[in-house]
Amino acid sequence: MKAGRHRCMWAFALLVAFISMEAVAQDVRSWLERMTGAMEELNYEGTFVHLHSGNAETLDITHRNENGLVSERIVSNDGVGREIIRHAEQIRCILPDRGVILVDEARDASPLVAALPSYSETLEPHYEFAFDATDRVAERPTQVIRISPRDEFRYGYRLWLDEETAMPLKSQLMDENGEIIEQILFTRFEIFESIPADRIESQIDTSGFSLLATERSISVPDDGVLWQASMLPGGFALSVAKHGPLAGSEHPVEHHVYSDGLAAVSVFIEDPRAVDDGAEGFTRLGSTNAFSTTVSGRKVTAIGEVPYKTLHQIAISLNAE
Amino acid sequence: MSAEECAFFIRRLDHDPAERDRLVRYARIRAALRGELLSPDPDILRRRVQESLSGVSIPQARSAVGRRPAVRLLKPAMAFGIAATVAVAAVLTLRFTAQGGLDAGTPDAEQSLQAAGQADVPSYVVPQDVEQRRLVSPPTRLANYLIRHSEYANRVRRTSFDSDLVGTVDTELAAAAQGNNE
Repeated sequence: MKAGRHRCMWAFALLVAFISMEAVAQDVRSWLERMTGAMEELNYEGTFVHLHSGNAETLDITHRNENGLVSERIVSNDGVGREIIRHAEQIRCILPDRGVILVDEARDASPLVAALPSYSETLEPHYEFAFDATDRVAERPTQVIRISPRDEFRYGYRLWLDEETAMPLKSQLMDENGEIIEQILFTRFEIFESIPADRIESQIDTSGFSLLATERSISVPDDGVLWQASMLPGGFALSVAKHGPLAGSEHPVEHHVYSDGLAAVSVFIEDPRAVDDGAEGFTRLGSTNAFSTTVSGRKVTAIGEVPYKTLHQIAISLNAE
Repeated sequence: MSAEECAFFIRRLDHDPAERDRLVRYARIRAALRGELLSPDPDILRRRVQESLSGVSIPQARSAVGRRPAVRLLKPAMAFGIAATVAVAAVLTLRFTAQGGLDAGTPDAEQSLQAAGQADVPSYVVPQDVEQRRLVSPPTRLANYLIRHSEYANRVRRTSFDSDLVGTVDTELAAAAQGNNE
């Protein structure tokens, strides 16, 4: 009788623990969904510091949402003041130090073509979600959320979300050892009812700049080759597959995106004639890793905010059928 | 290194003053970095390091005028002694490395020995981590990849990618971009 009562108490305690854990996870996911919405829907301006690899850079951001049409401008306050401007259909990266503008098409919004990472329960086997203490960033109260990877194939995050809007005012990216490899910290953040369109326009006189744009005139023959990754790290799945031109390339590029729902890895498969040299291996661009190799006579480059081993595993597991 | 290679190396040091001077400079820099020459006079160390880095002789504070001939001959003799000592030490170190430190049959060892033989231009840059020296596609292509990838990445990460693009990409990116365009 007494033993049976103990068993019931243990079962009840386990049930309560499970329910509370599930409630926390759901609550965190709810915060993250709000965060994604805030980053797209709000009209805001701010200044943030980007820290990585021992470097600190200050950048201004202006984000405009006019009747659902989102545009954004980020300007570096250091150096020569490079800019990146995103409109609904186009992305422009202006490099005034060399008089160059890189232009690319914006993402195809069709759900059949693209699937953005989302915060669903499918993340649970690969990440642990938890609330940390509250904090203040840019003079605003924030809720800190911790996302820890459960294996070595992905990075972890800490996010300081504005309590009012869920806007991330500070974020940290942590490697597989828990070391911080990148931070973004807002030092100024202001929300507006609306933002004039000219705030998104570049103030740089780009007359005479060289334009490096996607060549729409490139014919994109279907070579009938089906590329597949046979050995994806747990949780990663193909979310996007495109075949088309890329800015500055004379040959069409095969672009695959593999995502675990939070982290994403892009794989670019190109004709080796499109690549200037035979360089292969690992490299890092800011906080982003890249790995390049040759598979079945094609140049394969994997790029993403994941450890090198993840990029390597995805790239070398590609097969052409 | 084999015995023949060691003998050749020593002969070359005997007959190539430039190579010998280079070895002496490296030895001085190594000693300075290890703090071995901090005494008796730090100014001497400073002057030697400056000489080594610039490759030219820096005027000394004290004039040699009035020194006796024996004292004037002392400096070249000491320099030759240092050079000979450094040469012997280098040969021993290389021999040890070839025999024990590295397996001479491995690709790494061969690459290291080849690199040592090809080091024509003096370099005072401390070698970086091997992983960072690995290279990949040209910078422009990486930037294009990053722009395209950022469209499909997590929304938080997109700001990070954009920051990388406008803040981190070094001037090689723009240079390569311009080169491609031309």
